[in-house]
Amino acid sequence: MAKKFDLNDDTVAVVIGSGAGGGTLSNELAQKGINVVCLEAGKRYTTDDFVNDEWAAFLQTAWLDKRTTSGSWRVATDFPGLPSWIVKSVGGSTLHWAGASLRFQEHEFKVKTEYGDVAGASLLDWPISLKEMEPYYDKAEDKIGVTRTHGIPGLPGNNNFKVLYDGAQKMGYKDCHTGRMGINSMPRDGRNACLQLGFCFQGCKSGAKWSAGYSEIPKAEKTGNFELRTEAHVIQITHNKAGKIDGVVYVDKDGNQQKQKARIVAVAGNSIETPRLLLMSNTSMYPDGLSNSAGQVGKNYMRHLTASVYALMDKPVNMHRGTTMAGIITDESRNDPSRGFVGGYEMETLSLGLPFMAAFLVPGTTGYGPKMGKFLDNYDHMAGMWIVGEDMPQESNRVTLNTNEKDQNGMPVPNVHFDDHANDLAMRKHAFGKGTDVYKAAGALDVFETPPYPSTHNLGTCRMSEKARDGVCDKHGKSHDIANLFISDGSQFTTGAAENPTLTIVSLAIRQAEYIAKEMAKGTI
Amino acid sequence: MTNSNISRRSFLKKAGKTSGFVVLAGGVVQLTSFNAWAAKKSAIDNHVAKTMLLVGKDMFPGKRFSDDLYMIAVDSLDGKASKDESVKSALADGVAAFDKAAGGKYIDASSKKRMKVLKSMEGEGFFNTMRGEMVNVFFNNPRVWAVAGWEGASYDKGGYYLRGFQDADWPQPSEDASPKGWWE
Ligand SMILES: Cc1cc2nc3c(=O)[nH]c(=O)nc-3n(C[C@H](O)[C@H](O)[C@H](O)COP(=O)(O)OP(=O)(O)OC[C@H]3O[C@@H](n4cnc5c(N)ncnc54)[C@H](O)[C@@H]3O)c2cc1C
Ligand code: SF4
Repeated sequence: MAKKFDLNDDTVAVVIGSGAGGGTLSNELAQKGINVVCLEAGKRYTTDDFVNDEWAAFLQTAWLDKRTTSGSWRVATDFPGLPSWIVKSVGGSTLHWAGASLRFQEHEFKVKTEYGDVAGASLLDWPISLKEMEPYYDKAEDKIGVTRTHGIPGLPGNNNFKVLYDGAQKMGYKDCHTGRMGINSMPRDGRNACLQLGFCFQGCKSGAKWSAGYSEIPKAEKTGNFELRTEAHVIQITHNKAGKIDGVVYVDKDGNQQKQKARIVAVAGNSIETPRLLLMSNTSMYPDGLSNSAGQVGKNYMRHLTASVYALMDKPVNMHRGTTMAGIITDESRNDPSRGFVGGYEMETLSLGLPFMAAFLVPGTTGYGPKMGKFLDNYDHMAGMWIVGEDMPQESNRVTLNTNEKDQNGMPVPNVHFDDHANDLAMRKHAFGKGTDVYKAAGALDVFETPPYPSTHNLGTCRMSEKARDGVCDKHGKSHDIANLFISDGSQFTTGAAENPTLTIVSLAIRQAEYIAKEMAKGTI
Repeated sequence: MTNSNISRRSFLKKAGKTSGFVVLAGGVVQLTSFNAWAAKKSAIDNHVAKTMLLVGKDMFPGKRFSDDLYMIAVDSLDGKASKDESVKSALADGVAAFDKAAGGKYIDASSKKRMKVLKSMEGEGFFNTMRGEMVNVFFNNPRVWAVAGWEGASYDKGGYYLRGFQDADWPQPSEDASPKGWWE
């Protein structure tokens, strides 16, 4: 039963964004009887709308609003207007996500303690521990239906996994399997089992993959406490004279500005839009933007190490058949500074279709030549993996407002500045070497070391910190400065860990909903 | 024939592998049945078209890609040139620049020389146009997918769980690492 709330209803919780963070938080709050208005800039698509076509799907749902880049990272050269691959649609980036759902390791919540001082890195311990997170990880895994947890079987490995596994065995790696995935290995929670379509990045047409868009939002709607407004692009969060948040201004689908009043506001626009919105909401009371008294909003942008290794094998592989991310080697994810860097990385199979492979195998103007021609010509002989590693937070890696450029609403566009840290470079080099070894062991004729794609994991720009001076929000995602303002997405991450972030984002949202409900009941917010 | 693009395309389809432009091993573009191209009202002239074909092929050489396939990129740009005079002149200028860099005709240069020309042109207008067309049009074409072995949309065929997602000739992983499917 979809509900409608009045624009002047100041008792509602407004959630900005309906992705992993916002979609989950909305549902969790609605389940607890709290009235929620979720404002989502994108449109709503169903599994029927998804298309098995890489470019068409990308153009259908990716966030293509104007953005700019700077810094020495290669993405700024190869994709200057597209720093990240995020989705603008109900469900956010969980429409395109691959489903890898890993818990952080214990030490990854306290890297400052564990790694010590790393020059140039703004490392900080999380204000929460793995122990505190465990019950929420547990709930999130159950919600998402993560394979190899809660008695859910692992997925069967596809061709790409067979090659990875063979290489892993020959390398002596101990922990290689089909991963913990937010993809149904059997029917569960009203969703189908995976049909091994191979179009996980385009929106799963069989609905086997968890997505906030069709897993969380419909459940929230059933409560009768929830309204979703699509094509509602928030451009400002407003406050009253006392400095407390009182609502948001958004542009609706007809281009008209609307003001929705609110009791609390939770921001979950992904790690570029969230700090951008806080910065754009500056007023005479908050001249540097909301929750920015420590000057931390937008800083410490992280994107995970990321790199890929694509191999040309001696026999046909047909890696595109079946799940995009079909398996993992976790042996390199430990912290072992003897390798020449702190932190670790995961190796996860990845397959792109031929259209994306041509664009991403070697991106930019150097992406051509005999070797590239040979790989693409022999696409069916290719195998591939993606490397996800912990990158170092740096204050200078940040999202700022580029006031020289305006978006379709006349608002300043976000600029994303990023330089790789020396630790990132050392880790990437190591990972390229190990990835190459895996494929050589499995019979590769040749490999490509593929540089990062536009960032799919965007993290850390409103980080949680124990002390207000070190971050933007506390351990519940509550703003250090404003009691009824919450950060509810990957922006909260104090550090990035080696694992794909979404399980942690969802766990934090479940935990935050519990906190908000409790505090609302107490009347503190 | 009233529509030159359609007629040329159907010609290429009928003509199959042996006609159209043939790029010989040495890289020289030879024309068999070239009259078919010349007879059409193409926006771009023969020399420009021939050079574009070879540039596309030099950028992404593949043993399984026939010259007819490389024509996909040439055709696509020809279509744009016929609608936009500035595209047409940019293509002609680009080819002229490539010829100049090759110290004669690009299509007559050795493959080593041609790779040097490409390298020197990285990031330039015509280079980017050709690379963009190859990446976005050539590699987004189902005829190219079929040859390279990408099978395209799979939902309408029920995915791959019954169609070879585990048929690669590598050892079957342990049951622990890769359990049987739910349908088994
Ligand atoms: C191709 C791909 C593969 C991935 N694979 C994995 C994986 O295997 N495992 C994993 O853990 N993670 C994966 N990710 C990352 C994962 O999708 C993200 O980490 C996660 O979705 C982020 O959650 P979020 O809530 O921060 O943002 P999102 O899920 O991106 O949601 C943000 C939402 O906010 C909306 N929004 C933004 N600004 C505004 C505004 N001003 N007003 C209104 N609405 C707004 C956006 O339209 C969007 O819907 C992948 C991502 C991609 C793109
Ligand atoms: S492979 Fe599985 S999860 Fe991926 S799109 Fe297909 S059915 Fe969905």
